[in-house]
This record gives sequence, structure tokens and C-alpha cells, in this order.
Amino acid sequence: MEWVATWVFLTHKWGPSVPKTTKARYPTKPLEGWKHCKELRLQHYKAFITARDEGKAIFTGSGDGSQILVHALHDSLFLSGEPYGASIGGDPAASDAFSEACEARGFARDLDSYMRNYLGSMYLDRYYFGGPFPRPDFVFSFHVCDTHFKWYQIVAEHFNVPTFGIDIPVSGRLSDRRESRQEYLASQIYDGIEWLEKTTHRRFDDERFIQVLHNLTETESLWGQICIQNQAIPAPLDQRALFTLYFPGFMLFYQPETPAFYRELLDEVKQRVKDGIAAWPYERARILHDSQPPWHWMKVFRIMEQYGGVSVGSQYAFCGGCSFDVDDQGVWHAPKTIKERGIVLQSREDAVRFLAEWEVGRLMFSVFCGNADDKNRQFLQMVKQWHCDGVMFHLNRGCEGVAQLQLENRLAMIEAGIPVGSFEGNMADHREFDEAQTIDRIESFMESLGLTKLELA
Amino acid sequence: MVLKEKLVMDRFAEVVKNRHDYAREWKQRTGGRVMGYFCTYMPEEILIAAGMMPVRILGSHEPQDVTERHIYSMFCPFCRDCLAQGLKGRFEYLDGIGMAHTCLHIRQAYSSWVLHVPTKQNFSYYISMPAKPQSPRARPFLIKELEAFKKAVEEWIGRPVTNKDLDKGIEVMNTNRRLMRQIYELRKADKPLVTGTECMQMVCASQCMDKEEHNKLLAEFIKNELPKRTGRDAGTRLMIIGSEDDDTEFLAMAESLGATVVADDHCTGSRYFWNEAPKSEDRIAAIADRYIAKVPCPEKDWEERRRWTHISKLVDEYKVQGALMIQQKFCDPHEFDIPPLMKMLKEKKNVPSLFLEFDVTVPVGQFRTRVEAFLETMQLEM
Ligand code: SF4
Ligand code: SF4
Repeated sequence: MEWVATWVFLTHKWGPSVPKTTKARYPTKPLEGWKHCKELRLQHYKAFITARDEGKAIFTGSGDGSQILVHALHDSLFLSGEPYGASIGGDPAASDAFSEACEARGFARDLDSYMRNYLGSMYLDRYYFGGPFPRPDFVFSFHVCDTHFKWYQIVAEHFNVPTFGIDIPVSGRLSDRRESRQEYLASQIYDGIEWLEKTTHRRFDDERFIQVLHNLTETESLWGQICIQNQAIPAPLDQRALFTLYFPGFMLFYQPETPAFYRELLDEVKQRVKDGIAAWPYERARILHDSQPPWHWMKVFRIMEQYGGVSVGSQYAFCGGCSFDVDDQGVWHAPKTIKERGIVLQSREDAVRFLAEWEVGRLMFSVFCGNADDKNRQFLQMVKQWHCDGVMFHLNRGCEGVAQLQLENRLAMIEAGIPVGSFEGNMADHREFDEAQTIDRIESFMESLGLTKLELA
Repeated sequence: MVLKEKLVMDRFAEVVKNRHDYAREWKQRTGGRVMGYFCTYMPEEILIAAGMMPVRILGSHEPQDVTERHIYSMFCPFCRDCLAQGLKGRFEYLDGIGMAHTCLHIRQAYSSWVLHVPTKQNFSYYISMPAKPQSPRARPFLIKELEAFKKAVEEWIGRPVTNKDLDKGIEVMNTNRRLMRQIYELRKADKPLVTGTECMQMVCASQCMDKEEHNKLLAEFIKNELPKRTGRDAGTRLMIIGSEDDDTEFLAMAESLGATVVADDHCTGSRYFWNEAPKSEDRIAAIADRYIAKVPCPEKDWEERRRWTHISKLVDEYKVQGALMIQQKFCDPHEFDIPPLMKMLKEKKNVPSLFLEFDVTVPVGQFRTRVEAFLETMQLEM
């Protein structure tokens, strides 16, 4: 455990030199946009219950990008697997039933826990938000994580529905041979469009496609600005809030309500910064989190808070919701919208080119590149810009995609003199979680930062 | 290494066992460069064209604790075993290291290798091998990737890799593939002339020795030793399918129980060498075609399941009666494919399967009991 000693040593350099106090240092108040955000999420999931009666086509696939093209068709809904699996993951009883149903069909317990929740719900024909599982008409998915298309291959076979996948090419570094990767992706996007039209017998509406892209970049830009506001001390938002608030940006960017919601949210967050309103009034140390949280045990953040530690963000919450623009000095800025970039999209060709460029450059994809350097740099930059005192790694057995390279990132942080802590868990399978050990690990980490437990009323 | 007086198959086993001595001797003898690679999508043709000896990074099946700081324990033991070899300095003679994009477990072994295991000439390269070779768009993209790779190699060695060089690289690789297939053909017979264990040694040897020398040994085996062989009672005809597996000890055990492994679908077996690069004026395109059409790893087998077609064909041609599903612990690509594959084999081919999960070390005694029970059940049903 030589790194424990390293933390203690480094605390002198990095640890916050604040007096130990149990007095609130900052005012706080609930976030007004919170309720609206939850409503948007619920509306999205409820829409699948009535989709068939309303003549809508249901698509399913991975993540966020997959649905960009789908929404250029009229009357389409997209069930994205990961957020759906995460919703189930927050409910241990449901997650038990669903993952066991998946495992009973021979799938290993160590596979992606979002996927096991989703597949179990499909096999049991039980939709977590009520009624039977929303039978997809089509599978259409981007593929960047090894799990992506292998997951939807199983879904397509189960329902015997047509399927199409688009390979997002990654290479050793995000910057390597970018033009050629863009070209490859663009050519597949054209194939995807052709497939969509032929298979669904619906018109691919280029105007709508361009509009979706405008919404996408506007949403991402606003989300980036919201994240940047969290660089303020005290942080106006904590990690739990970020994980909830990023949902509309991740899943609902195609609808105009989303940028409208984020505009309001940005105003509210800016006001909080101006007024010094904290997410946690006892903020004494700022922690960068890595990976998705254990949705069934969001208390991890509460444990940090008991010591005055606030988790102010993560690559997952920041970059899952938007791809930041990085300047020559490596500084992250909220991404510019299409208009702000001075780009005019007039045709399908313009739009496809733009989308390919946007997707290939996503900072989030650094983790899939087969090289730890990109993400190490991102970590250092996040620590710097968000004024973090340490990094807490959730070694997440539920997501092989995001867990890859975590230990190399951890080593890089140690080398840079940044205190690190870690706990093991699983984002959406509570069976792989040891509560007592997790508390112990987080508490030790907070103590290594020189913090003592607050005496809260 | 004194190899001359041994039989070819023993020589292969010897090289695999002493692969590092072999590589060091090769370097001394030829003055050439040795390039390490992970997974079987590395276009070895280009490396051979550049006068190098490509060697695949494989593990050593020993318990180790050197990778704990680098790769989280949720990733497959094979990728950790591979990295351990680098961290322990066993590949200290490598001049460069590379890989072509495949599963995310082994990608981490590569990433950590680049960060922590110095190579003699500090060369590392990652080829963006498409994850969807089934897309018609994959070919032109891979051609560009291979051209970029060739250029990087040329810069490294300080001379151009000519068409003549590429012809040689392709020819050496294709000959190797052709000869190994010829030997695999022998397994179709009622009394197979080679065992599964020998075939695995042969393929592993191909992955860690000079291909031209390997070719010579293969030709020698076919010409001088094969005619003297009489074949063996096949017993139950088995196929092994699954993750990376170079555990010859396990295979020898299975073949000592009244069974013969007559076919395989794994990457130290047929997946490595099954298809050849076609003839073409555009050599790089020919190499790309070969890797696009390669028997896929599950990670690259979508939307269509082309592995199923290949495996079914092997089952028919090699008269397979039972399948051993060998999966490295935590190997996601195969974890996705194994349940539907076992179902397909049972329902469409009437081939039962036994699932076995492998770790760095294999509990041979325990597996022996399971394989015995499997064979017994099969005999009752046959
Ligand atoms: S990144 Fe994680 S959650 Fe997403 S598909 Fe891959 S394994 Fe699953
Ligand atoms: S395919 Fe399986 S065995 Fe091979 S490196 Fe990947 S996870 Fe490991």
C-alpha cells in the first residue's frame, strides 16, 4: 500500500489548508430545475407505453449518438440501452429480477450490468416503467464500446427485427489519422441513412436531420457551460445533481425543449455562482469522480460530504453530455454551436460531414483508444480547471468500457502528485458491492486529505 | 537451441517453450528486428516485408502479481498474463510493439506495455482495425490504415518497403497458412494423423518463430514424417471453440480420455491462419482484404453471425461430435457469443457442448473429471 503513504505525503502539497469546522461555510438551497429535469426523464420513458397506439416506430440501440439519425425520421422513439439499464440499476429488487433472468439464459454475471438489466427486462417482457417491454421495430446502433453491438445483436435476434450498426472508429490517440476516420464514419452514416429509408419505409428528412444537429450542438454547448460553472468555489452543483441533470442532454437533445431547459438551468446555476450558493454548504475539499456511480448506492457522495468533500464532476458526467473544445493550451471550453462555428449546414452532405467530425472527436471516446495518455491528460486538466483536491475512482465492475485504463489513470495521478482513492463496485448490480468496505475506503481517503468528519446536526 | 535431430512437432513444442531464447538467437543470427504484437489482426505481411520477425505476445500460465497496479482484476487473465511477461522483462529483446484494434481487454495490455515496458527501438503503433469488417466501408478505411502503418515502418527502418518486399511478406504468410491448412486437413480422416495438441503447438510456434523457418519445418513434416504416421483411433471427435487458449497441457489431457480434438475455432488455431491474402496488383489492398475476410473474433462479428457459418462448416467437414467451449474468465467477447452458440450447435447440428472457464492456471484434475463426464454422457447418447 505504498500509495496510501504517497497520499499522506502529498496532502501537504495538494490537501486543502482549511480549518476544521462544522459550521456551514456557504449558503445552500434546492435547485429549481431539478423537478423539471425529473419530469422530462419520466415523460421520455412513459412515451414508450403509448407509442404503438400513437403509430410511432420504436428503435433501440446504444448511448446517445445512435439516435441522431433516427430522429430525422418522423414519429420515432429511441430506447437507449444504457440509461434504461441505469434506471433499473437504481432499484435493487428490479435489478435482481432482471439480471437473474438474463443470467438464467447463460449470460455471464460479469457482463455489462446495464445490459443484463435491459436483457432481463426484455426476456421477462416487463418494462420497468410499466407494462410489457417496448418491442422494438428496429435495432439501430452506433458501436464504440465492444459491448454495444454484441448487446443489440442479441436484442435483434430475440425480436427478429432488422438491424444496422455503425462502427465509430477509434485509434491509438484521438488525434491520430482523424480525417480518414471521419471519412470512414461518414460513409457508414450514408449507408445508415439508406438502410433507415429502405427498411422503415419512412422518409429521411434532411431538414429535420439538420435541425437535430443544431439542437444537439446547442444542448451540448449549454451543458458544457453548466459544467464550467461548477469550477466555482463553492461548487453550485454536486456530482449527484450532474448525473441527473445530464440526462436530457444525453438522451433528449433532439427536441427543442431540451436546450430551452438547459438555458434556464444555466441561468439558475450562474445565479447560484453569483450568490455563492453551494451544493454542499460545508465544502472543504473538491473531488473528481471517475466512472458511473453505483446507482443503487448514491450514498458514496454522502460519505464524502460528511467530511466536507464535494464531488464536483467526472469525465462521465462532463463528457457524456458534451464534447468540450480544447484549445492549444489544453484548456477545456464549452463546445461552440454550429452557428457559433460559422458553419452553415445546407445539405445532407454538409450534415453528414459535420456529424462524423463531431463524433470522431468526442473526448469521452479517449478511453476506447488503446492508449492511456489522452485520458490521463484529460484528468490532469479536469483536476486543474475544476480545482480538485483529489480523485476518487469507482472501480466499476459493471462497465468494462469505462473501467478500462482506470488503474493507469490512477497511476498517472499519483505520479502527478494528486491524491487518489478508490472503491470497488458495480454501477447497476448491488450484489457486487460491499457497503462496509466502501465506507471504509472513502473515509480513509477523506482522512488522508487531512479532513475530519463533520459534526452535523 | 539444438533442434535438428528432433521430430518436427517436438521442435515446435521446443520453440514455444523456449520462445525467448529462440527470438534472441534469431536476432543475433540475422541482425533483424523483432516486433511484438497482440491479437491476430496484426498484418504480419508488412513486418515480414520489412525484414522483421513478428512475434505474438502470449502469457506464461504462471500466477503473478505484477499487473495489479495496471489492469483491474475484472479484465481477462490472458491480457494480464501477457502484460506480466513485459513487466517481468521476458520480452526485453523486442524492438517495437504494436496491435490492431481488437477487444478492449487486450488493448489495455498494449496501453500499459507502451507506458511501462521499453522496447529497444522505442517503436509502438496502433492500427485502427475496423470493428465492423462486414461493412463495405471497412476495406477502403483499412487500406488507408495499412498504408499509414507501412509508412511508419518505413520511417522506422529507414528504407522503403517495396512491392517486391510486400510480395515476399504475402507469399511467406500465405505459404504458412496453406501448409497449416494442409495439416489441418489430416484431422478430417477417420483416423486423424495429427492430434489437436500437436496442431496447437504448430500454430503457437508459427506465432513466435521465423515464418520461413516454420514453413520449412512444415514442408519437412509433410514430406518426411507424415508418410510414417499411421493415425489414431479418433474416439469421440471434439472441437474446441472460444477465447485465446494455448493450454496444450489441457488439450493433451482431453485427448488422453478417448477423444481427439479434430477442429477448432480459436485464435491460436484456425482463426489465426484460415484464409489467405488474395493476389492483387495493389498489395496493401490484398492484405486488407485478407484481414477483412478473416474468420472473425466475436468482437467483430456483427450484424450477421459469420462465425456461425464457419463453425458449422467445420463441424460438418471434420465430423465433430462434441464441443468444448473454452472461455477465459471475464472474456466479454466470448461471453456474448457462447450462450447462443451452444444453442445453435445443439439445435442445428446436434452437437452438445461443455463449457469450461479458464484462468491463468487451469485446474487440470477438476477439468479432467468434467471432460470425462461429458464424454460419457455423449457416448450414452450416441
Ligand atoms: S461503455 Fe460500459 S455501459 Fe456502455 S456499453 Fe460499454 S460496458 Fe456497457
Ligand atoms: S478476446 Fe477474450 S481472451 Fe482474448 S483478450 Fe479479449 S477478453 Fe481476453
